[in-house]
Amino acid sequence: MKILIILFSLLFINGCTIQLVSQYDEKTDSAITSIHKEISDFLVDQPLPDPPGETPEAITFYKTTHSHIKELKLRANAIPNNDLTLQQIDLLDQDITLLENLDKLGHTAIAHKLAQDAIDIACGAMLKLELAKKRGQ
Amino acid sequence: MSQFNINETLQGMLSAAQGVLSKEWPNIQSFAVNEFKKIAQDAELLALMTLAGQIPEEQAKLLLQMQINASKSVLLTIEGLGLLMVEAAFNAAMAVLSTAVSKTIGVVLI
Repeated sequence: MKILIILFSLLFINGCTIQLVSQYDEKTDSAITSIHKEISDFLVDQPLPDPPGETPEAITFYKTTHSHIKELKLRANAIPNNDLTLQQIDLLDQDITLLENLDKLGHTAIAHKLAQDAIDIACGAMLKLELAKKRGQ
Repeated sequence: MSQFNINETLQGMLSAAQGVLSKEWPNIQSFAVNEFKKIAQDAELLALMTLAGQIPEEQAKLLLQMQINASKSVLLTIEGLGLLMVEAAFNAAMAVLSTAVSKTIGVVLI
């Protein structure tokens, strides 16, 4: 009986490390960085004030960026305990749609700055979480 | 083999967990303050520019939604950092317990 209790304790303590958030994923990290650069480059190249309507460059940009975000989501979805990152990816995808709608109305310099700031904060938060998943390594 | 000292082990577990919490919490706090400060500044700018007629209402709504999304993303990161902190504190406490049990029974557990 005593041996059984000791064995049970050994098994319990051994199995008692928890993982509440997914492991760090280098590909997610680089995909977020690359999507952020893609958006920033597009905003920098945008002529200001931007007249209403979509240019062929803008149409390509939105299509490509949505597709890159979809790829990122597919990967993130395959990683266990990755719900927080998945929610952030959905928010980033919504941002691209909002940017697209903003583009249809025409940009001013100030609208441009505010959109860029929001994207910077969102991507920065995603990277902060992804890097924290390294757990001090 | 040595005798299992429950008080010493408990104290060790609490110290290990507390060590993690006191190390990680200031980082989370400063991240939250910095990011929410940026969002609040931009929200103020958006409100002022909209009132001054420099940003049309339709554009302002889209930009406000982008700021709300950025805030949600920051909150999700704070939630994740908090979970990582809890995870590290729990695992540090369990490592102390495991060491104490290992010493008592003379078998290395982890």
